[in-house]
Amino acid sequence: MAKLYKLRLFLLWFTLAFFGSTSCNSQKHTPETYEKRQITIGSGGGFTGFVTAYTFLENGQVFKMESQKKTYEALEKAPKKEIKNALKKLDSINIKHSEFKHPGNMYKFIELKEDDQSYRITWGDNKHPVPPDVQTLYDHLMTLVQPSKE
Amino acid sequence: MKNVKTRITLILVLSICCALPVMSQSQKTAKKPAKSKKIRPAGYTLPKITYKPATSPVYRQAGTMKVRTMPKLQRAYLAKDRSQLKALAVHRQPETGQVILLKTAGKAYDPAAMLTDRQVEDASIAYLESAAAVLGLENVKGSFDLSVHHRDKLGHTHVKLQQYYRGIPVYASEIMVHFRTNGEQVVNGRYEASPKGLNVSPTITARASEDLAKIHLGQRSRFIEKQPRIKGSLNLRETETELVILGQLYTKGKPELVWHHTLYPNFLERWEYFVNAHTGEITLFYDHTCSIDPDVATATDLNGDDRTINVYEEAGTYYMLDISRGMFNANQSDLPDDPVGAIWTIDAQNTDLDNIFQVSSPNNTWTDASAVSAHFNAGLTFEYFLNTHGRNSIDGNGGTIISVVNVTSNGNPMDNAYWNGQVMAYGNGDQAFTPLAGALDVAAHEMTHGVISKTANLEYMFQSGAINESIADIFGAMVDRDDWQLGEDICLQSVFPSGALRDLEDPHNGGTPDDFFYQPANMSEFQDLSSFQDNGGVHINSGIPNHAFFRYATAIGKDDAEDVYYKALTDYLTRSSQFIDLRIAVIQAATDLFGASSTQVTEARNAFDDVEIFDANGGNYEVDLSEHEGQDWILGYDINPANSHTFFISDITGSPTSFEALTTTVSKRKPSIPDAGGFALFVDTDNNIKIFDTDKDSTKEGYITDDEFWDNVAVSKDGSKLAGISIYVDTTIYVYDFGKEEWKEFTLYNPTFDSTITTGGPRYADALEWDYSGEFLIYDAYNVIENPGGEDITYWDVNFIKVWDNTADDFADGEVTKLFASLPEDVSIGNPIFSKNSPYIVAYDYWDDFSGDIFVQAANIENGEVGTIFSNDLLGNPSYSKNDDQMVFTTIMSSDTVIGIIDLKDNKIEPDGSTAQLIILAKWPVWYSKGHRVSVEELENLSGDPLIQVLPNPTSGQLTIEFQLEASRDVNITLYDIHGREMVHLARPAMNAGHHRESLSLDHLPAGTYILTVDKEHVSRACRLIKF
Repeated sequence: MAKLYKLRLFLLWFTLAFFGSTSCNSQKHTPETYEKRQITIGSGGGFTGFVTAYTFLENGQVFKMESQKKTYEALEKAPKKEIKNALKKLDSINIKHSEFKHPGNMYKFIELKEDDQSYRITWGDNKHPVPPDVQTLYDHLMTLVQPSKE
Repeated sequence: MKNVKTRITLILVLSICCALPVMSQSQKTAKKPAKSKKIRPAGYTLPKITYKPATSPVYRQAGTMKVRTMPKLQRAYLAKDRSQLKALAVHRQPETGQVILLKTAGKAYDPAAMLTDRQVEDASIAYLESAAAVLGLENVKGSFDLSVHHRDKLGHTHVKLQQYYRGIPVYASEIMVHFRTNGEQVVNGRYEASPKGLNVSPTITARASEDLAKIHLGQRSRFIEKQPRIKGSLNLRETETELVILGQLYTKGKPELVWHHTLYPNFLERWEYFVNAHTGEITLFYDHTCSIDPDVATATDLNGDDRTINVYEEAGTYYMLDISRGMFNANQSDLPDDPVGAIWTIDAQNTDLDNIFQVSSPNNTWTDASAVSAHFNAGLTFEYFLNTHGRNSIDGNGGTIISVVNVTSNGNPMDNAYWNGQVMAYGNGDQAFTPLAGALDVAAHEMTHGVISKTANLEYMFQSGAINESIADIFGAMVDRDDWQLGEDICLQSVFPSGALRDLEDPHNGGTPDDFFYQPANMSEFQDLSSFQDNGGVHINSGIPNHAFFRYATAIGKDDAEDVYYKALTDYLTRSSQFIDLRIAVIQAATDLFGASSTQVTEARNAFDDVEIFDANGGNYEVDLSEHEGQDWILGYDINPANSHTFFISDITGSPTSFEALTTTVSKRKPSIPDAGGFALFVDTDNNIKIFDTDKDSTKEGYITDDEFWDNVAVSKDGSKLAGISIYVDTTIYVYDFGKEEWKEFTLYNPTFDSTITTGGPRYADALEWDYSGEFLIYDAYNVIENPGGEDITYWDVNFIKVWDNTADDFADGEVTKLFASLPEDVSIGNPIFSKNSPYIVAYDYWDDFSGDIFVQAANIENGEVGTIFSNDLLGNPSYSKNDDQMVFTTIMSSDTVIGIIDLKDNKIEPDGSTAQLIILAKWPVWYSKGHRVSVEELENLSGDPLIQVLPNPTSGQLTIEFQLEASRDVNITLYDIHGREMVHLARPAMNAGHHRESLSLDHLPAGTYILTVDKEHVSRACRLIKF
């Protein structure tokens, strides 16, 4: 009986520990600490040079960063499947080998971070129109940006 | 409120590009036609190519080519003096037979001899006298007086002359004489054949005539009683009267002496009356009331100030549209939605420019303070550039200035303002700013970005991007010149300690390097940022040149400083300019304006020294290729129906004795030849790619493909790749690499920024040519803009596409870059080519579907300059000569299609003389050379000199070269890239004997392999150098 009690206690502790740890882990990640892949989209420039960026972690977490604040604001999570699909799209766009860096006075960008390496496509100069599939991906990711419900 | 989105978008897409000059009208009709192509069938498999052309074949010639001069025979047709004018074109008015356009060839005029009004008038009268017989004029000297004249950017002088008869002006009879730099003179306008026997002493008085006119007008209009007080306050104008001769164009009979009265019966109407000065009969009258008079309003702006703004009223609705400026073009405007030469403020209604509406009012009261501020500030900035720098609008050519207010970013309130290449967009602020339209320096900053894009067009990254931002700040501070701060009128004090976003006087702006409002003030504080951070620090490091300007302007005064910087921007800075280039540009501009020993030059040096941008050699971004050593030839296409041969070669003088026919195969297009010149590719009428040897003694010809799929082909300069287009309506360019033995398809695309216009953009490419790096293709494309609200718009434009990556040695991503961001309405360009030695120079055909004008033009991609080389009667398909000092193209002379030739100036984009006929009954010339350029291998095989040390190698950027001279010598140090292009050159004349050490900065060069040569007169040393 005591043995069974100990087993139940262990299972309870294990369950709490497991879910507690995973729950905490999912809340702890920020773009700065996250080690898997992440996508950042953003826009800015103009008179102020301010940039507003949104980062999507592979686990679905979404963050907002404004250049003048330099801190991340957690937003509502996005479906992981959408992030996976976006990552696949970035592979098909071949962002790792893209040299498309043509900012205008106002510009947008899409960036992949993987294994501590960052790859970015930047556009905004009218003479260098961005490929439509890049713009489409940017627009789709923007639809996943939702304010936090908490 | 009226939705004008579609209309505005068309204006934006087709807005006038300042680089393309407006040309005179003619009735030419030739243009590049849209093809009747079929849709490409699905599932087509590209052919396996087994033929592999030799790359870089060598055809060496003994001796050195000398610069060729055209034989006298070729220019014999040019007039030797004015009495031998040869009419190139004469257009007559059908009814009267009078000449309305005359074009003649003559000697190139001397601009230096036409500086004063008298000189210009004398030259014009002399020319008209020489053409008097053709024009039907008598006593020219007493019949025309100079009205106005000006010299345009191309160097052509345009003169307007008013016709007189016995001292009386002939109404509306004006002649324009155009002196072109290529030796052509053009006369156009309307004039009256010299009246004979006309009595020029009026029989009735001006007062009696005016009374007759008023009696006549009283039956048609209502006269207001003129009371002095009311008249003065409402500016009712007095009648204007002039004695003139009314020509047969108006009388429909003989010329008449008339009194011309302009009558203002009330505040709205204006009438023109012409009363016969002998009989008192009303010869002519008409209502001249202007239907598009500007209006004004008083409205409150964002700062609570009452502003007088110019508006426009139509059908009882007022629009925030300023048509009061001198640049306004009523004839080309379709108001209110398509103004030309206006200052126009429109409303995005809290969208990301997705929806654009007129700002309008039913009663001329205005409640949108953002719109009032934007409109008023745009007017002030326009006036600044016009009055201070003589610049007529953003494009310098009177183009419409558009401000858009109530703009958001991703649907959220926008704490920003920006220039998007077409319009100035203002957000209403959020957490850091109040509505940004409220600041004059913001408006001036954004409009200056527009001016920059039309002048130096500085690349918006790293140092060139920081100069771009700095120049925008500088002119922002000059327009709003009461302080040195930027944004002080719209910054929230709670966010910005200084109350401003930036400060030219104190770039630190009350912060530390971690603060977003901090900027470095000198090069010691320069932030070496990646492109991921503010595009390499464009808004950050701009603090350094900003502070240099502050130092400069406080030393010599704002008036001189702004003149120097405007000249530096428009005449010296280029797309890739770095901080050192800005220093050089400012010093040179100051030297031009004030002299080399002036205070303005000394203080320019001091200002840049103060911010630690020190004296050095600036970068040369116009890098030419090494010399081509081969013998040059011209490949042409025979169109003489009596001759069955097609392609033939000739020497570069077009000597008939040098003609050698190469084939009888009929070609669809101009052929393509690699840089070494050994073979040519073309597409035959069965749509196959064929190849033939360009050796005159060879008859080799064969197929590259036999799949009947192709419409055009281009071979890369090194012969290692092909690019082709299909016979279908196909947005694909097909590229084949002989090394990988693979095809790759690249899809063309084009931008659109308005969802209401479904733009398919490019439908297919046509002309193709490879650049010298082998990475890019330049091509033209046929575009269709589908317009659900009206007629589709079609045009041809020129683009670059990156199809190969030399670093990865693989196909590239197909990135497209446009040659011109936009083209004027009705204008197309096509058939692009590169110059032979300057990868930054391109030429192309230009045609205007409205006027019928056709030109061969050329552009310098680096400095943005455009030149018109030749006015043509059909598309020229130009080709540069071996040394780029001449150009050949297809043209028409004496009704024959011929290959013409013209000398070029050193800038390679302007003519230096007139066109001569080179080969008759021929077209599609390609000037090519057989042989090769001075190669890397040759450079490396130069004789060695152990007394020269180059360290470190590899290098991260800074290089030290040490060498010993036994005696005084000239020394030249040159760095080439792997294509043999000169990247850096140091000339050290007459160095003393002894040990020397020179420093060389490669910071501005990309990583890669380079060849460094050190020449000490007849002793050279070369080595391979790695930059990492």
